[in-house]
Amino acid sequence: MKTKEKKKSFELPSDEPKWLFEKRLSALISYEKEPLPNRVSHLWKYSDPSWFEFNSNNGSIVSSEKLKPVFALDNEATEKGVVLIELSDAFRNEKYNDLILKYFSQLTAKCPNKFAYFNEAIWSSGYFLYVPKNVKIEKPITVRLLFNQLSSLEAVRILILLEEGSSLNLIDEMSSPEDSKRLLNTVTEIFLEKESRLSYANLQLHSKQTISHLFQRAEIKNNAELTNVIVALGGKISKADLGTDLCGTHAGVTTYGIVLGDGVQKFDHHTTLEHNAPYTKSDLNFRVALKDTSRSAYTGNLKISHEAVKSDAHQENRNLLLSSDAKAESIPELEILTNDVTRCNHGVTVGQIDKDQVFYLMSRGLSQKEAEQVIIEGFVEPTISRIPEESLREDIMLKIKNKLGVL
Amino acid sequence: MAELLKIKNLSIGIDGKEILHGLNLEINSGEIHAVMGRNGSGKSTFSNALMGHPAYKISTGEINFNGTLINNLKPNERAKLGLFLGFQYPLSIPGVTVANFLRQANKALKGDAVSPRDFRKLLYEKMDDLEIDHVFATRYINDGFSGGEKKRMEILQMAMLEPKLAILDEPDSGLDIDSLKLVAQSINKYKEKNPSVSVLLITHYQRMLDYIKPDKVHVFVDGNIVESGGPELALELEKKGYDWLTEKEAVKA
Amino acid sequence: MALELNNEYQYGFHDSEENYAFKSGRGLTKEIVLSISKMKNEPQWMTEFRLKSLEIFYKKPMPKWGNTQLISEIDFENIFYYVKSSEKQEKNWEDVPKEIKNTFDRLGIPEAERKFLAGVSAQYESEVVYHSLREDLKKLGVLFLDMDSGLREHPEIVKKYFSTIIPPEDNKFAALNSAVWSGGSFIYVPPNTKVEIPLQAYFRINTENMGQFERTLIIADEGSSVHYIEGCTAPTYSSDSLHSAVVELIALKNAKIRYTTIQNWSKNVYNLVTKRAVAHEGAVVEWLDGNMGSKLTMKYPSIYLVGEKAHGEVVSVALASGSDQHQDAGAKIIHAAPNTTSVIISKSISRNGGRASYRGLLKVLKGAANVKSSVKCDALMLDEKSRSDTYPTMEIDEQGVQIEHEATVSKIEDEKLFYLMSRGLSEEQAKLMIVNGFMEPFVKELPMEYAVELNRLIELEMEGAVG
Repeated sequence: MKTKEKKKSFELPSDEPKWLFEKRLSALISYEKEPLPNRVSHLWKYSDPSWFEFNSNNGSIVSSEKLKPVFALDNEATEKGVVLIELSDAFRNEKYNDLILKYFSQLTAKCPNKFAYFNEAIWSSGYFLYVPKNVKIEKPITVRLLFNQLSSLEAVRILILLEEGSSLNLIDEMSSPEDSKRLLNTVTEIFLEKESRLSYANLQLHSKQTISHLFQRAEIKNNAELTNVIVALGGKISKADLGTDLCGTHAGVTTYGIVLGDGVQKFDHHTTLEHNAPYTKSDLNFRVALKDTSRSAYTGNLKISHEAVKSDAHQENRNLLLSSDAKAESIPELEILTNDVTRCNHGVTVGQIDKDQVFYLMSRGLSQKEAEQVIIEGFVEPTISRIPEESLREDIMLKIKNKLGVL
Repeated sequence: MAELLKIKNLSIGIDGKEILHGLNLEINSGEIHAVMGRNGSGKSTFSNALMGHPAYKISTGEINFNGTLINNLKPNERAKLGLFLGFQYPLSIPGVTVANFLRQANKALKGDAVSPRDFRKLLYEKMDDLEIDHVFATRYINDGFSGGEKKRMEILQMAMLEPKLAILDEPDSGLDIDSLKLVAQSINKYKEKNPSVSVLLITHYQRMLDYIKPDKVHVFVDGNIVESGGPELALELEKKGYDWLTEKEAVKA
Repeated sequence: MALELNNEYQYGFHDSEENYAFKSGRGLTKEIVLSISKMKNEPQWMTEFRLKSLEIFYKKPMPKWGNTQLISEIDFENIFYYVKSSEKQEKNWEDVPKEIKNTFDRLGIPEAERKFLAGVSAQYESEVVYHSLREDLKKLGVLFLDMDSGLREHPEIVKKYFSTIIPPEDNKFAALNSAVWSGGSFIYVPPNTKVEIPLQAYFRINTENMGQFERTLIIADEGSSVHYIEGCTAPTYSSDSLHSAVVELIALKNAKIRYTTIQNWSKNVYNLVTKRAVAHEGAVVEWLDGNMGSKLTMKYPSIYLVGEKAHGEVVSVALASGSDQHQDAGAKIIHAAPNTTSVIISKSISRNGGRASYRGLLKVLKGAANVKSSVKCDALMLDEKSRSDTYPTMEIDEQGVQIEHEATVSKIEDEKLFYLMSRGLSEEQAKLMIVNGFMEPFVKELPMEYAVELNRLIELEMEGAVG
């Protein structure tokens, strides 16, 4: 009865449906059964799995108060039937039972992961976003997940569902106050039905004490398109595992990644892009700039299955090292099972700051720090400038400037 | 004069969309024909289809070349019969030198294997005619060539492979006036040496015809020849533009 | 049927095994290792080295990279670890036993030696059966011997360098080789000596279920240079053989080593080879690695750039043809000193269900400032049944670097085929021309005779590619 006891210790809300409680239990069992990933195994070479584990060694205690995501839906969205509510509320509301049953944990079930099990067992906060058929919302919706309590473990669960022909711009902003120390485990599932379009940005602005594990999976149906922006500026250790399944004809995903590291920050990002249907398209642009003793590992896995004829895939990863103690690893992985590809290429560069550029800028009166700041901004600019929404571009640039200002 | 190319009621489509609609054309040995038309009027479809590009499907009609129905022949089989296409956008083949390529093509077309030395001599002669530096013989086909270099390389290939009918798809596009003159001179030179050779010159500017005098001029509009005539037709087009013919066509319809 | 004949592996013949001087039993035991060492009359340190390596081999798990499925199918108990075909090594082709001579005649080795080689070594099963080196090179003090003779005649050099770059602990197959190695080449080039003409070693497996474990050690002393070429073939048997070599190259200050491999094992050979080089200050090491044959090749030639301004280059091609072939090849370059440079060019072709993988590592260690490296991987896939993987890992621990990596996967474009065919080439000729062009960066580095031979191999392999 060890697991049940443990379960109890998480003090989860008792008003949940019974089936969800059962699901949590079975996820907890899976979590305990699943061994910690071996350091030589795929995707764990650059991070120690025990960092993300819940145990008394790293002082993790479970939150007793629930974190509340902050968001507001405007009238237009509400009138058109867009739903944005806390996930636990969605579970309690019979209206959403069918949808939740149909979609919740469907994508995580496809790829067993110890930390996703953990999330499924203990998640307490997060949200459910639903956009009905053919509803198109232009104005971006921002959800703020501010971890301002003292508790040190949070498990966040996000479920996003866009019905056929719908369209939405969504921004998740995750942050925590400067001195807070915590372990964060987030699982996000994104479903894009036929011809829908989602622009999704995840802005990670955690305190330098935060350890975070993000597990995101997206499923893209026929003619649907995902624009996925991930900006990682904060955290002590952040690992993000982003997977996209292009399972419908003409499905597409565009990924923009920005990582800025300083101090002792560690970043470990993976993207897995699976082309599983004909005429699918993926484009990825990932830029990493590192100072001090920060380090980043980026693994870009690209799979084109035998069925995915006429696919088009392009990946680009650029790394800028600003100190001799910074470390960047780039691990592209291309697995191509058909020759009938429209385009498939990959490029990586690792380079240092151009001293002549610094000199040039300094000769115009900038301090060294300012010059470097300008160069870093210039380095990430080509990626940011391709992000479709202007307001998001500005917001990201502002946050980058903020971070560079305190570098 | 003997009839070299005879096209009857030719309709061509790509990806299920018809581009050429029931075209008729005859070219006799030794004649120079110019095909003019706006971009998108079907000129390049026509040249690709004549050479047997697999993406262009013949839905109706016949292409007879030198007495042979070539509708179903592969590009290399057409080349063997004496057809040549100078590409509008020549492709680069990295790793394959111009000399190697032309030697193998020469062998494929003419059967006999010229000794490497004789071949090189011949190649250098033709390169000199076109003012192409000999170093190009050892460069990879069109790899890193400028637009003008690519166009001259196409004419060099024509001169080497000695076709009966040379279809030249916009040999003038992207050329400055000096390169244009050079290209035109080489075409004329080849034509002088081989008077029975026919040329089908595809262009949308009159300027090329200042240097190469066509026997006949055809105007393409919307996938068909709407007007044929002598060299004067090109000049008229230069003055009046294509709209004049489009309007004329509308009246006819 | 003509098509089948065309595709037949032309070196698939084998001759009788009745005249063998010695053949060990199947399987690997301490006794076999001891008897190999004893038969070779080795010094005590080598016997001990073999026994230690055997222990490591037993303990080491199988590699976790490459084709883990296929290597797990290797039956170590069913392999002949040592087969001696002839009692002694000859210096004249005429004296080589007739059966073996016939084999090498058919492979064209004596002819090649006459025409364009400075020295030849021919290994048949476990032992080198023929060896020669041009007199003028001997006089200059160049040593080119089989590894066993090298150990006997120059123990001080061998002991100084042997296994210093690839210890038995490196991986299971390096441990296996260290325990049962036999044959291979030992080369020492004295300071400032340039060996202008290539030295060649030829490796032949004849026995079914044979394990060939040659060991090669090349030392280029300061300011010297050498080009070594190896070729390999085996008969086609229904059951598998294992080739597991260890090759160590040491390029001392300002020396240059080029090591060229044209691997053309039959499709029943596991080719699991560890190759590594160390380049000291100003030295240049180049691996030219062509993989045409074998059932599974796992080979990642590496270069440790340990001295300032050292340069490393790995240029490779792999042809994976048929669903019974997996080429898992690559390159590994470690920049351990400042101002070092490296280039990796990998070209792979997969056709007819074949699988070609590039697996690489580029590492810049801390302190190795001002490093430049470029990695380019191009894969050409000829049909929809085939597969191509690219895994080029980069680990950079130093800021003063300039690293570029590019990978492309493509097919033969229809437009290019049309262009070439419009000039009179058949579809088959046009495809072959594009494939040859694709391989050109590798082929142009080879001596002419090898380039011609390689193009011919590709042509044979590509015949019947249309349809």
